[in-house]
Amino acid sequence: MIALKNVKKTYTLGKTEVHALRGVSLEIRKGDFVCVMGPSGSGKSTLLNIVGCLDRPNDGEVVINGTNVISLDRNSLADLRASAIGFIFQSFNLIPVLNVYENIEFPLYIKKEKISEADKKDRIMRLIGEVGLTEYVNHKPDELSGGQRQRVAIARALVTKPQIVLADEPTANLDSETARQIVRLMRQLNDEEQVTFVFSTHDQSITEYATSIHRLKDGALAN
Amino acid sequence: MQWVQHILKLSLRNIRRHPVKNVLTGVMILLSSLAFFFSASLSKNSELGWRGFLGKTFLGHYHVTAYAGLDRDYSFSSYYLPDAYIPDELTRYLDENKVEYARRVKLGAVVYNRDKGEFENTLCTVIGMDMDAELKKLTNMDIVQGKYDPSNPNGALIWKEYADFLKLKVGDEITVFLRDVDNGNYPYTFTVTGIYFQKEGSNIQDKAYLRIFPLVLVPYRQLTTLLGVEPDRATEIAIWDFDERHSSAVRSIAKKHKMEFMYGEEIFAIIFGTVDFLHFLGGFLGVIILTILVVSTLNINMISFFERQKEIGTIIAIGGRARWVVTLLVSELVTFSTVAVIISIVIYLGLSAAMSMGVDFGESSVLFAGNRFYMGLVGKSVLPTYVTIVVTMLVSALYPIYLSTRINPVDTFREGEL
Ligand SMILES: Nc1ncnc2c1ncn2[C@@H]1O[C@H](COP(=O)(O)OP(=O)(O)OP(=O)(O)O)[C@@H](O)[C@H]1O
Ligand SMILES: [Mg+2]
Repeated sequence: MIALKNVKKTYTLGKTEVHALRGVSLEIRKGDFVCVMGPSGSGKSTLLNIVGCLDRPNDGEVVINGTNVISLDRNSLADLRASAIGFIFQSFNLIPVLNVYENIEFPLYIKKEKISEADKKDRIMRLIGEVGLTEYVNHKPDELSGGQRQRVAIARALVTKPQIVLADEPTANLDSETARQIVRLMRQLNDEEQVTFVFSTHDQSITEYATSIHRLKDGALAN
Repeated sequence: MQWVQHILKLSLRNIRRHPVKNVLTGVMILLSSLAFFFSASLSKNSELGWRGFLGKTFLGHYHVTAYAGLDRDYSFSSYYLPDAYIPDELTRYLDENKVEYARRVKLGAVVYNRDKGEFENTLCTVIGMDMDAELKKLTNMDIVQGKYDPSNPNGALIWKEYADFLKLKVGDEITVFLRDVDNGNYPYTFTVTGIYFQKEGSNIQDKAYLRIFPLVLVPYRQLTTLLGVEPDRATEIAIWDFDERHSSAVRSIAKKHKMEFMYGEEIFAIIFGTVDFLHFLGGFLGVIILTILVVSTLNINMISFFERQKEIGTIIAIGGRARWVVTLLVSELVTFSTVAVIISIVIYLGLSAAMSMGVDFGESSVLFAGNRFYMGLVGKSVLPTYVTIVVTMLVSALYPIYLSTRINPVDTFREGEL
């Protein structure tokens, strides 16, 4: 479903070149629960950003559903992200003025998904139930704990029924117990909804849920 | 539709989220709106004050003349009858809409000065008017000697200063040379039955550079007959009516027939200039405030752009196109400006209600033809003010909005980690 072929990404900082990815090839199949591990600076975020069409590689191919996305323009990439990809961020990135329900509803507007009001409400409430926030529907992000915020973000990532959800260090801002709960929740949704998940972490303890683990070191996979 | 609702909801909440910034901008918008509304009100008071005053004189609230381009000044009238008279379409419109008006035939004439035994070399103006109907209207006209005599078709009323100049008294005869419809130039003799003067507002004379009105008023029917003008034909009509729907309809009919439309005060460049100047002054004040508004909101917008980078980055990351971001930010600005202008209107209305007694401008009340100033909201000033403010707000947000669309979400997330 997603294939990276010899992806390279280099950042130029003044005169020095930073090789964030040095030719990464990778295949992700539908329903996978993929973990990208690696120390700080190894290129995890860079890799996920490229898979999520937020960033372009300098070289190589990124094929999503058979299309090489390298050639797409800004707007097409935005549309692709809106319809096929869900994002979970390390620092949650919820819209502060929207409550839990509205934050989850938000991507549907961006995607301009044609869905009846009743179906939409059903879908959102079911997701809120699955992430265990039924009592918090009308709460604003600043009234929630970190773990609860990340649950909202998970529901938001899933509401458009994407094929893949990308989570860059989704647990880095959470305590270890909450972190485990969040990864377990993602795994459970991965199972139930058959959504592919790719998440990155440098926390060894949460990798046990992954169906496959890719280890990055200095911008290269160490398999 | 739902999508619009959603954007509006988001805009309103984002506006509420930054109270300090918005109160600051709001105060600037308030000040500029008040300046615009106030100046519009000053001009309107001046315009209506003078229009009201001149309505009691020959000018009516406004009038239409067949002497297009020529006849702006009552002291210099054409010596020839016009090629075309006031069109029926116009009088029909006025009749149908029950707008009060009067027909006149007006013509420049050469006067024989009996006292000196020679012709005067400046023209006087002979106005044939329906005395029965019009004298009631011209309440600023005071017959100081003699009277209007309806039984005498050859009776004339003369402006006092002109009568003094010609050394004429009630009962004297006045001979004028007029050109008739066939361009023949003949003498016509009238008897002075009354001498009139203005009751109030001597200041127009000083202010409007009009020393004497060399006006001779004679009965309309008699004059049309003498000159061979078809009955009911008029070279001008004066209209008494403040309804702007009618004045704009009259203006367009007049234009269509190449007649000239004028408000009373337009004849007096000085008054018209004052109205314009008041408008300019307020506009100038408003523009200064708007400039400050642009500069300050540009700063505020830049700051909030940096504050909101992560939020906008998130929207772009989850698939928002640049257009989506622009729509959101523009809708925030427009919503905010709309609310601010509405609040300004309410405050302005409050102020006008508090000053419903009107303000006496003392010496300067000549601006308003001696009337008190009433600070009403001029309907016509609302839309231009609103549009000006929205455009100003958009201009000052142009650059921050442009930057927002260029945001690379990856960068904003990295920033967040600093
Ligand atoms: N925009 C950028 N400009 C310059 N260098 C960058 C940029 N983004 C990433 N890098 C560099 O690329 C390398 C990989 O960065 P990346 O953020 O992918 O690492 P990471 O594995 O996500 O690290 P962490 O665990 O700290 O988040 C690092 O050396 C980083 O400094
Ligand atoms: Mg990272």
